[in-house]
Amino acid sequence: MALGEGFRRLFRSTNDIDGEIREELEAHLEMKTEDLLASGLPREQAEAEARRLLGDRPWVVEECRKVRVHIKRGKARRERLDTLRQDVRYAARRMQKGPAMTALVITVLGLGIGVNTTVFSALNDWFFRGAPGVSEPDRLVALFRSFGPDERIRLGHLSYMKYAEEVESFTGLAASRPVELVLEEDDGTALLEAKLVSANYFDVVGVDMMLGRGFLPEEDEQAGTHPVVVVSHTVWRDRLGSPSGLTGEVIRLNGVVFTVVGVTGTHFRGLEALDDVDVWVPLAMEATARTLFPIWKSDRWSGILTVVGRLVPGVTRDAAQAELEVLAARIAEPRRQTGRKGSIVLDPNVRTQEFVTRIAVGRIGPFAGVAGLILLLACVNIAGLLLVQAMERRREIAYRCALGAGRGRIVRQLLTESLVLAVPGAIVGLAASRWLGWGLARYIAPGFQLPLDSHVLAFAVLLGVVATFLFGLAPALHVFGSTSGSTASFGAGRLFGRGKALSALAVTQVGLTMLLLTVGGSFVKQLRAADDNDPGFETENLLLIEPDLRMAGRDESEVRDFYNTLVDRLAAVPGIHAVTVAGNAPRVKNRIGWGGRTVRANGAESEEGVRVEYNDVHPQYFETLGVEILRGRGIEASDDRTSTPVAVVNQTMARALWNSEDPVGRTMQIVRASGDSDPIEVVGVVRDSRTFVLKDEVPPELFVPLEQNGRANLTVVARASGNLDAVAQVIRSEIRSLDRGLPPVTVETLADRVADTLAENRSWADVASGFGVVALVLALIGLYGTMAFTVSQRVQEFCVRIALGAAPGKMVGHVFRRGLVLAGLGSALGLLISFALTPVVTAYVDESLGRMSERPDAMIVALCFLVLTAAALAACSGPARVATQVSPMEILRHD
Amino acid sequence: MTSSRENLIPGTLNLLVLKAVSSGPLHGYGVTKWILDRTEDVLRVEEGVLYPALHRLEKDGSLEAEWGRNDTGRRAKFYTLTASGSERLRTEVERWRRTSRAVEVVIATEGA
Repeated sequence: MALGEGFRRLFRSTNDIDGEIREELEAHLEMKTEDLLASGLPREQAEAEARRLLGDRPWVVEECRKVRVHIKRGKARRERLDTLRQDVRYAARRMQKGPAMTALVITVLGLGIGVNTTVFSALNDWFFRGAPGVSEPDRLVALFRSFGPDERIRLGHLSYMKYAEEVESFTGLAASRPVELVLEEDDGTALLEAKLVSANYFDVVGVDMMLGRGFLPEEDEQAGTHPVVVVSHTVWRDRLGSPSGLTGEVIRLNGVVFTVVGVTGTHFRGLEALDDVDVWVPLAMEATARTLFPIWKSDRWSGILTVVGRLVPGVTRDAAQAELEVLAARIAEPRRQTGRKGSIVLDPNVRTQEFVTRIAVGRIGPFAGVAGLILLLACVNIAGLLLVQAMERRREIAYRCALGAGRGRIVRQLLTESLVLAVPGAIVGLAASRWLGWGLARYIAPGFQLPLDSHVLAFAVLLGVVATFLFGLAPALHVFGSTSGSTASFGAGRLFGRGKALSALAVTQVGLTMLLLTVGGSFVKQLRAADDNDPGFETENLLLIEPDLRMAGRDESEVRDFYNTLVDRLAAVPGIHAVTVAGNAPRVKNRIGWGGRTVRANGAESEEGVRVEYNDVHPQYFETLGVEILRGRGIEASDDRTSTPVAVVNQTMARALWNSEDPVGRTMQIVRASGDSDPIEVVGVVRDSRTFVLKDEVPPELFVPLEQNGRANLTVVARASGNLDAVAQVIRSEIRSLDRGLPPVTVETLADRVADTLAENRSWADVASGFGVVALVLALIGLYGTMAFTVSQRVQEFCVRIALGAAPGKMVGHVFRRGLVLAGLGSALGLLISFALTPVVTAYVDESLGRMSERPDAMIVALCFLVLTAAALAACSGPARVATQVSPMEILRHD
Repeated sequence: MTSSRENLIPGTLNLLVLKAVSSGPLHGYGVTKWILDRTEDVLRVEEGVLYPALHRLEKDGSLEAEWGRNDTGRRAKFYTLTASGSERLRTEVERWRRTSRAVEVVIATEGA
């Protein structure tokens, strides 16, 4: 109907325009004719002359019409703007009247938009933006081998070379492999993020170079012949001192002198989303990186080399795919196990590839879900609030209708009011998402950034607009319906329906709150509990020292010498009281070989194998950590390769294998697939300690001498006193004097280490509890809205009841009862789901904290019930007061 | 209708129209007459082009239009110069002066 009217108006207006122009031209002709008549021409001639002089009349009319239509449109636009301005002003005045409500709505909306925008920014950066500093990123694709749907395997170097040689759909295929290299400078070392790349890497990826060049083909032909390097803008600035040109600058990487041939532009930090690459080196220099898996010109190790290609302009991804499939059928090596050749798949998301995609889905996915839900709930709640307001305003609106305001005009005004709320909401949301972005950077990876670009801005605006309609339309439509009758009263049936929906919603929200609060609360409680456990050793003043020998290229005996010398030297450092080395130091993250062994006690009642935790330690281990030796002795320097294999066990292991008997002097064997080990003699029993895990039960633990076993990466543990920072400084310089080529050594106190391992789990707990609090606020608003709505609807009924003699207190009781029923239903629902979800969440908890209970904590559940009940009562108190204040007079005023 | 009547130099139409209206409200026909009178019948405004020009100037806000009656009592659309119209007239005049001076210089050089 509105549309038809619009059309009619449009036609009428064009008719008006044409009529006006014709009249103007008629006037012109008449006046001209009169003048010509006055000059003596006969009428007929005069009229003809006047028409002739005016020229092509239809053309003139058309030209004028075009201009007039423009003028008309401009006027209409100005009028619309005027209306909008009026509406905005009116909305702003209304907002000022209820500042608390306004602030609440804006905050809730801001939170909803903020969380969503954050999630979107991350996805935007990973999937929708090209890599910064790369030209025409749309033409880049990543290549994988595949033997079935969803399977993606990186290429080996040999097959990469074959494809790169033959493929024609790409201007080139580039290969890269991430490694770490140690930069050696006069005053220390630094661990650099590096990529081994094919010679054509910079051309194919399309990196703008700030200085110099990429690599030449001959620099990636023969292994180890061309030590050349391209450095990042950061390395150029911080390590080279920003030279304006390259004149044979060199840097030492892993002991090899590399000539700097190029510097990348400021924006290029690597192709992949979390990259922060410092240097690029030809793949041919792979040996320098001393990697465990050399890939140069072989297909032995796949799953390592990242291959990207740049499509020739005009060639589609499908065409390239087709070409590669034909090529694969010819040159791909069949898989050993199955003999199948498989195919090549192309992935346009070169920034993410499989790794980040998994992170994105695994980590951002749940966030996105919860974020979306929160925004939706926020909108629905705000709609509820506005609905209550709309009820209060129905008379005002009815009057305005009576005074001639169109229905559309009023709906538009209500939508404008929503928009006035949505705009600051979106701004708050955008600010919140910046802030959340910093938090996420700590949680995901240091290289993680959330760039603010036009996509993100557009997304926030879009959310604001969508939200406006979501929460603005319900009250608007409601009013629309209510004013359709001749009076301003509402149809009871329709309202009853809406009230039910609101109730269901309030129940859902309470449920969600219960869920988030119980899961988050249980989480926090377990973390607290872990902190309170008795570690069984002295945790104060312990320093953990982890030299990184992976890249130093030492054999086993050299490694042994390194640690022995280091321990001797550190023992002499003032402030250090005891030093030891262990395969598994207290709470060290990379516990290679951690996981335990199966052992069997010789001559015990039970010959069955027992699973025990295993640790190889240096002499002085128990003394350094302060673990009490209960029986026998600890590990000593005399326990070496030439002496009998010995071991020390903890109390739990002693009990598990020998029950109440004294294990000292007994022997046991480690059960291996290749046959049991030589008998090992137990020489001591130590007190149970929570060296590795903070969980409640201490596992059986076995300690063996490092000298009789041994392995490459170990942790040095020192007990020190005084200024630990100063001691750490001395330790670093001692290690540096032992080997100048080692990457910077981590020296950390145990307390810092514990805080680190807890940090990630804490952040999970923070997120869960944070969402819980947001949900609680939302649920409060939801309950309030529902109750306020119910009361406002039933004012009439209450009035009648009171008029008939019911006590106002009864009405209040009714409101509270209903609120509590809703809250109770919701809580029960949430509790049910939290029983189902807790095992899923516990799977995220680090094992060093011990296994979490798969049930929500009873105390937390009780606490949540209390909090929710209190919240429900608080939410009901406002509407309840309204219910007591109704008087029979209200009826008269209402109808 | 004689050869002494010249068609307008392109770009001067707006200038002439604004100048005409600057003396007081005029209808379209009045504008053509005003120009013919002032130039002693030398410059002749193509009437067909005049009306679109008037409407465009109205759209720009240089002119305001209103229906009124002429001295014989006939309904006609009268155009009045607005503030921004007189501003525009000033710049058009200046531009014209610059152009014509430049053209004069060129002619003088050629003659020498």
